Amino acid sequence: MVDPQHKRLKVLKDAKRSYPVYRAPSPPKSNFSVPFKSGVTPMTKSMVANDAEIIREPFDPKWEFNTYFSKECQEHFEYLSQIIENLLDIIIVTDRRGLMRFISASAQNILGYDPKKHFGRNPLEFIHHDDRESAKNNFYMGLEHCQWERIEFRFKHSNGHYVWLDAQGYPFRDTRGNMLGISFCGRDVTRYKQLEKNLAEGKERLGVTLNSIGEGVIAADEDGRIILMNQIAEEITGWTYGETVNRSLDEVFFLLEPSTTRARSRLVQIVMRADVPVVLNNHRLIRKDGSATIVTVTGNAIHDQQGKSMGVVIVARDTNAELKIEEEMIRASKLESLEVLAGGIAHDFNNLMTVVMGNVTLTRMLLSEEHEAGPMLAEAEKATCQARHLTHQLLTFARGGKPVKTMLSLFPIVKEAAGFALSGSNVRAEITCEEGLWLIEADEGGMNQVFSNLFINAMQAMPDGGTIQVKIENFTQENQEPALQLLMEYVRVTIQDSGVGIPRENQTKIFDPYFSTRAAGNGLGLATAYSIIKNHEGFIDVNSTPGQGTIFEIFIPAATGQKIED
Amino acid sequence: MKNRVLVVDDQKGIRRLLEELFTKEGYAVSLANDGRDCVEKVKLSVPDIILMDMKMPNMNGLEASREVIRYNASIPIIMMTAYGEMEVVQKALEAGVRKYVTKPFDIIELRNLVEEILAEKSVPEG
Repeated sequence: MVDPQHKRLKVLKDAKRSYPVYRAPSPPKSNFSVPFKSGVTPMTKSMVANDAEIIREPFDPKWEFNTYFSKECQEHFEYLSQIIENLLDIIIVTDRRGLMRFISASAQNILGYDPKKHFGRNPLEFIHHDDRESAKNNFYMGLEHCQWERIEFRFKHSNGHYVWLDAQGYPFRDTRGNMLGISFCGRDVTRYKQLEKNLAEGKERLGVTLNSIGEGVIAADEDGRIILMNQIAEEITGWTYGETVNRSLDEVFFLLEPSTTRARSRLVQIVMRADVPVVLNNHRLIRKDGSATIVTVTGNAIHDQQGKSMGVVIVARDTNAELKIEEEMIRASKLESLEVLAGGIAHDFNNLMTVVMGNVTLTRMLLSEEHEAGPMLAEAEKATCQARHLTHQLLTFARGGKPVKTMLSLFPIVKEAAGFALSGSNVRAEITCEEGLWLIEADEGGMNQVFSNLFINAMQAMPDGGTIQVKIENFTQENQEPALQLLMEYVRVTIQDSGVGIPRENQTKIFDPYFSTRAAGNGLGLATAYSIIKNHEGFIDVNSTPGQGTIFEIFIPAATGQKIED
Repeated sequence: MKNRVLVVDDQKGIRRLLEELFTKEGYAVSLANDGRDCVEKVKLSVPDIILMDMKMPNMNGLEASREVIRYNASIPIIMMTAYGEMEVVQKALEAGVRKYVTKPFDIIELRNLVEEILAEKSVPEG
């Protein structure tokens, strides 16, 4: 039998030597120190009693202290007990087998249990079955390896619902270093868990909402670091959200002011300083791969509850397609006025030219062949012939409105136009045609002019010669979606040259009448082709890479009911 | 007897040019400055051939041609169009206009065409 007094003193002595000392802030009677982690704990009895006794006999700290410790120690213990009783967190102490030997009074408030009634029970009984395994593993890891991870688990409340506890354990030893059990401190984090859940749900909702928006959304903090980005923003910028980590908004969302190469930097600061939403129209966004697209941007500052700016939200709309349609409409309307004007001018001009040409010819008829004015009149006649060719072009451009349509196949027309336009040059055309090509209802002369103009254009773009790839095929909406609206079936002719290409700044102007970058060009070839195709309810699309070549795609409505060409 | 050519055009310069040309070639030339004038002149004196402009005030070439053909279908008409609108030309040909030329035309070619048509006309049928 061990002498209790001797035991008590040894515990205190060893404890002072081996463990950190807790110094009470305001001791009730005199200055003293309490070896908090060892001696005065309720587990003292387990050093002298076996586990079976502990289970049979619920632990009564006062009894222990009355039996083994001096009055002073009992007062200290009382003092510590009051502190523990006052804690908002739960303290549970288990023995080696995991049975509860001490439960703090806070358990009543947090878990609804009377601590005294649950001594000797295993806390795992109360832990949610989904969390039980990890709690159990943690307990044994703590017991055997003195390792305890801070874990969260659900603990059943007396009324049946679960309370989330964030728990930390610490192995509990006697003075000889023997493991006695584990002391847990658990904090009720149910509210935080619910907030966390709400937050996760809100985040999910936000994510789905953001990805359902047809505009690019990017949020950045006050330092310009990207904190959120939706799928459309990924598509517009060419960056994935993952790639934007540690990158600034200015880098990922690199904007150039309209029609300049001036960067619109420090967007975050501009938006944060503004009192109203910042709107930037038709800026050029340089994508990750260096290509550019046109965007309209709206920027709003995010404020905290005190009204301080925390960052910005940028909403970007890719307006490239819109601009293309707008340009198309402007061009169509511009062409319409020009067509009327050109038609009127050409009519009057032709009348005047008839008089000039006719009188020159008449004069030549009246003079002898040797007359000295002969060569000059011949020159005048030649010039009027050239003028006639020009008015012919103007009229073709102007009169496209009402083509005389017949049922025809594009293949022989394209072939003939290529042969005619490229004859005598070092450029050849390689034409492939889909079997069973649909017929079109079109003006044969007009079609001839369209393809002659396009081949002449391609040939002039290839001064060093080469091959123009031409493909004629049936085209439906299922194939792909071109830039403009598609409502029917088309015959598509693709003309791809390997020429010098069209500089980006000129790509929107090439169909404008009288726009030409070539000394010999009159600027009516492509405008005429465009006008004729438009008046056949078709359209032309162009893609050009400077230095690599140009692809023209011509879509002409297929004739219904006349689809298969023999 | 000289062949009679009726030149119908609202452009004075063209009327004078064609008058000069065909007079020198030995034709009897009369002039009309629009479609209505043309129809009236035809009713007064039937020409052997008419050179008809398309776009004119009061009555255009297409309407005048239809009137003339209704009155006397044997008068050949050559349409002169400065606009080259195929749809109207098509209608004129359907109405009975014999040929068409597009301004600015070669007057030698026009003269040859007139000669050709009149030669055809002078060949007795059957």
